Amino acid sequence: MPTSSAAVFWTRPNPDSLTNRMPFPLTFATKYSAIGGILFSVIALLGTPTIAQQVKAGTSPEDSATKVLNRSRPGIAKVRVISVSSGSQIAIGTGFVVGDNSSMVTNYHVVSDTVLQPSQYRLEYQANDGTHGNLTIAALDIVNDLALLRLDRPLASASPIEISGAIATKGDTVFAIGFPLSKGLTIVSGTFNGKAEDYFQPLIHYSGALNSGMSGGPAVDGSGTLVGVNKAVTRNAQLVSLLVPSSKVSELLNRPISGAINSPNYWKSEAERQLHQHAEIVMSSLVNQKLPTRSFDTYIGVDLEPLGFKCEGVHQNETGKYQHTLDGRVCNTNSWVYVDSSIYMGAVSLYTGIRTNKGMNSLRFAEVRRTHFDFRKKVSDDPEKNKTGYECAQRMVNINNLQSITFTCMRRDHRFEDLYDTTFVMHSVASDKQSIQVRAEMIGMPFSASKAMIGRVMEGVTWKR
Amino acid sequence: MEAVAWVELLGHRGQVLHRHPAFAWPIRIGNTYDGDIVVDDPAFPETKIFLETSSGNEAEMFLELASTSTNGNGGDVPRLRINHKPVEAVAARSIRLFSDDVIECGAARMRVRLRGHVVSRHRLNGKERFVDSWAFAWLIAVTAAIWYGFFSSINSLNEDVSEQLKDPFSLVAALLIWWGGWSLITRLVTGYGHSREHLLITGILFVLYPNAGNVGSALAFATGATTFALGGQLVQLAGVFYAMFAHLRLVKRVGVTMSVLRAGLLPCITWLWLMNGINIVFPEDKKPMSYDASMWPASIVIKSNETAQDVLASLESVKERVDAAAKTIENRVNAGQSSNEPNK
Repeated sequence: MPTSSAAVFWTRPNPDSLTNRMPFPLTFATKYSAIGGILFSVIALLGTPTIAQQVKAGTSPEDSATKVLNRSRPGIAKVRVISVSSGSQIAIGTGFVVGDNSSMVTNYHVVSDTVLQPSQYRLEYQANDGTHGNLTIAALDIVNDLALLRLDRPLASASPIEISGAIATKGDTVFAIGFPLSKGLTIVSGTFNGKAEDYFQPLIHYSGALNSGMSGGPAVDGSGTLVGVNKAVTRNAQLVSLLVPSSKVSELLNRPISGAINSPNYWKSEAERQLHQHAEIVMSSLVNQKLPTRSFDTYIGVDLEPLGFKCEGVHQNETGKYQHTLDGRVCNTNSWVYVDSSIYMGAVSLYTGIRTNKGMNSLRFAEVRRTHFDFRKKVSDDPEKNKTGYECAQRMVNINNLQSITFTCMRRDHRFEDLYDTTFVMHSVASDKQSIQVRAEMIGMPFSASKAMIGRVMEGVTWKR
Repeated sequence: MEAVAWVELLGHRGQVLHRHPAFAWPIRIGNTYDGDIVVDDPAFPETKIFLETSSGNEAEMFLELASTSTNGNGGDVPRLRINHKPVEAVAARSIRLFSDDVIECGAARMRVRLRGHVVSRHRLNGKERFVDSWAFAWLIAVTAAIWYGFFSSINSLNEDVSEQLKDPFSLVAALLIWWGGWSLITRLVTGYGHSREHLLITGILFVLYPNAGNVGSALAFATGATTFALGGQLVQLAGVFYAMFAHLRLVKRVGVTMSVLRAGLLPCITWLWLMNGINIVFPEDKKPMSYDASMWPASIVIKSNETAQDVLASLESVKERVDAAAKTIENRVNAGQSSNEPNK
């Protein structure tokens, strides 16, 4: 018998590749790219001269990208994140002027460093006419990844991007504008494909080539009216990009702009408040009633699909010394919120699976189950040590006449109160022929809600014998 | 019938020439055939050595000399040495002895070993002392290394170790297991009839200590029986207590304060630090021992009729630990930020 579960885990072939897809803040987005994960990129690069535009003879001026660009150009600027100590640019994005030429909209993730570490970073803009100046934060919508910035002085040459609130039609041409890889102002033509499915927050599915640096830039129709805000592109996919709907920009602009901000951490506190609000919305759809259940062979487990969340099936067949099959479902709310480059919050995932013994003796089957019980070995700690290590509790329980072992671990980002990453794992031990395994992960959720979710999961598991 | 002691006749280099079991007290040694042990040595004086235990105490013997001289003047008193030191051999005088003391009477040299006892350090021979000293020096070196690693600011896992130390059960168990281990080492160094038995038991103990919990846990997974998980812990505890009491007997016989300290406390602390030190030095995925203080209480107090409410109730303490850890990080970050404030 191995001397440690760690040795067993790393030397045995992992019979459950699903566990590699279990979401944790850093891996959550990238692992789920196949079902709509998002890559956020804000890369600091040096700027390069804008490539000269030429209008083809005979092109209709009404719809040409040139016309759109020329109309929009004065109101679009680079948003630069500057290190206070070194004066160096550490990140870059795009912003566009709205309203009275004193305000600019961009993505929250472009300015997240300034929000969370205001003493270490500041914001600057650099307009196309060469004008530059400082920016301050005027409003935040962290859940929808938006930020409203205030310019130190109105941008005289700018023409604000029009926000009408009208929704484009599927198939319409939409032009995304920004500074990709800091190469200069660029316009990209793409197709509006309506609401992106399976996301908790409203997002637009845009078939256009967005690139790093274009985040926060406007996506406009042929008349230059805002359709959405460039947000992200899906990794390992072709032209699958996401925009924040213009309606969310309108909501942000209609929020009362804060007056005196006394504390340098005001916006961090505001972000935290919004995270709590978002968590409450997500969890209320889960814990306020019994979770739907579904049959898993001789067991019954919980399922989130009837609640409208995206689920997909899992099947694995292991041969050889550890011959067994794994059949299950993984569901998630897809409601995660970008907080900074290393963490996301506000999402729930649920895995329910049946592991069926296909010829192993009971001890070996027990060992296979045990190797997937303690997930902590697969999780890397927050590299900046903003998160605590995992604290855990293990209990052996009898739930609905099903003997099981449960393992609950929690950790927290010290910067945010009462927002925990909680992982609950439950393995039945009543039978050496088949075992049900449940794994619920609440990322960046309040303790009380996570606790309630765990309770809902346990009450939904039974053994049909 | 088991022997109560062995009488070993030694050669001039201390090698054992003959070994005779004695099955009852008193043991009579002489060069006549009415004794229990006959020393066939013409140089052995015409006397008898009686070895008797003190009442209720198996650890001591009394040497009584019975002179067979008939000339009335005390007789031809044999030259008597105990542990190479001359002793005035007066007839009928009691001389207190301990197990493994070497008795020289005339030209004969013998050693009596009591069943179930070991020899204290000052009775070890040179080779035995060397081994004992080397083991002690090694323990000192390991302790120093672990202490250095623990206090080194390079290793940020120190806070995890300090958390583990707050678990009193684990601390006590670690102390006891090493105490028992040292008992084994001492017995092996000195050697006596039952060392094999202790080697087996304590060897199993050392193998099982880091693994009994895992074995029990695996069996619990296999059978669903909570008793296996609990049994794994009980195996550890049983071995620990056995080793502790075995060493208590050793300490009692030795009766030297320094040996108690050396044989008890210091190795216990070393073992504790060694276990934690190994877990500090090795990368997360290559730790030779799984050590999770938070899992011990659950496996000890397992009840198969715990409900979902018990699971939820246990989360409160987890939350408290997480919050405490978050506070620690926050204080550290704030301290770092205050010293790194940029010049404005």
